[in-house]
Amino acid sequence: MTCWRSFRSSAVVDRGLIKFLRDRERDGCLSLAAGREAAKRFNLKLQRVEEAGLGLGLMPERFRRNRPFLSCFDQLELLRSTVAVIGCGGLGGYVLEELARAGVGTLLAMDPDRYEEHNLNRQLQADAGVLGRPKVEVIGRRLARINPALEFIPLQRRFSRPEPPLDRARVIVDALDNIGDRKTAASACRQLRIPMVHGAVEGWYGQVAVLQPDRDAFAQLYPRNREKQASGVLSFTVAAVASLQAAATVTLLLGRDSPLATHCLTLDLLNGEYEKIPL
Amino acid sequence: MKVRVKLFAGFRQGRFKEVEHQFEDGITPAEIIASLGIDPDDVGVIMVNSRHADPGLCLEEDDVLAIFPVIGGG
Repeated sequence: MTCWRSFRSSAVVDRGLIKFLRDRERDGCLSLAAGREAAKRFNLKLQRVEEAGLGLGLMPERFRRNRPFLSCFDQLELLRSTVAVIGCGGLGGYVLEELARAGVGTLLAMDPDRYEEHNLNRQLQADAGVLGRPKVEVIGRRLARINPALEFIPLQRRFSRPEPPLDRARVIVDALDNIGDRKTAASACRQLRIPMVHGAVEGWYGQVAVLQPDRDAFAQLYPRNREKQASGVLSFTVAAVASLQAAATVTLLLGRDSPLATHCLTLDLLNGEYEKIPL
Repeated sequence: MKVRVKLFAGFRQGRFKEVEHQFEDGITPAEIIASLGIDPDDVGVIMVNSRHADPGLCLEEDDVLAIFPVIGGG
């Protein structure tokens, strides 16, 4: 009986919500204000309201310019997706921002660090006002203003093993800054059977690849190296590599073939050269 | 024997982009890397004729050796 009541109640809410959303639709889009009003009236999270809207073919207004390259169906797929970003410095900061703006529904962000002055040259969310504050906290606040429907899960710790909630992710983004942790992350992704989108930078140079869990392609990229810290990192290289990682992540979430699944793309922004290394 | 050596990214600085050079028979990528003054720990991918190769591989006439630096920053 309880179940029936609950089901009936839910159906009534759904019918009411559908009418509410259709009444407020403008040119196939739903404004943030309308979404928030619906969330309040029907006691739902904004993300649930927008999920219902997308199911009706209504795009959240802030994603209007994603059309026609991302359909409502694509947008719904992204909204229902969880991505984990390990490392929230240069690469991770851009990747998180771009995925939030693309409309990924849930982002897990893992990083133990706080902003330091030497992060200001390249880390998107770093500014003089946030020095000393945890990166995952600062990024979470910013992304909540950019995409209010986003579920953001900050994990202020160093990555060490494939523990929950990382296993919830459909894609894990390797935005780490050292080879040892990257190897651990690659191994964890294989164990969890989750594809990993790898990116790395140094100075004018970078590389990006999609590593599928069925084989150890990571060993081909780092076949024999001991630990080596990057000597320096430039802002535009970080943005370029992170953007390629974000695009590869979205293609994976949408079930499309990634051009980076069979090759590692290397970037030389100093000489304008781009190479594909087979994996 | 003749081998074409291609360097990528920061390895080009103070060296070259691509050269064809005469080497003694059976030379290995590791020996060429050492002769160029490159720290082996800085080397990432090594490719011979567009295939991943071990640094100890004996090269052959007209091989194309590509040497990429390891990149690990974020």
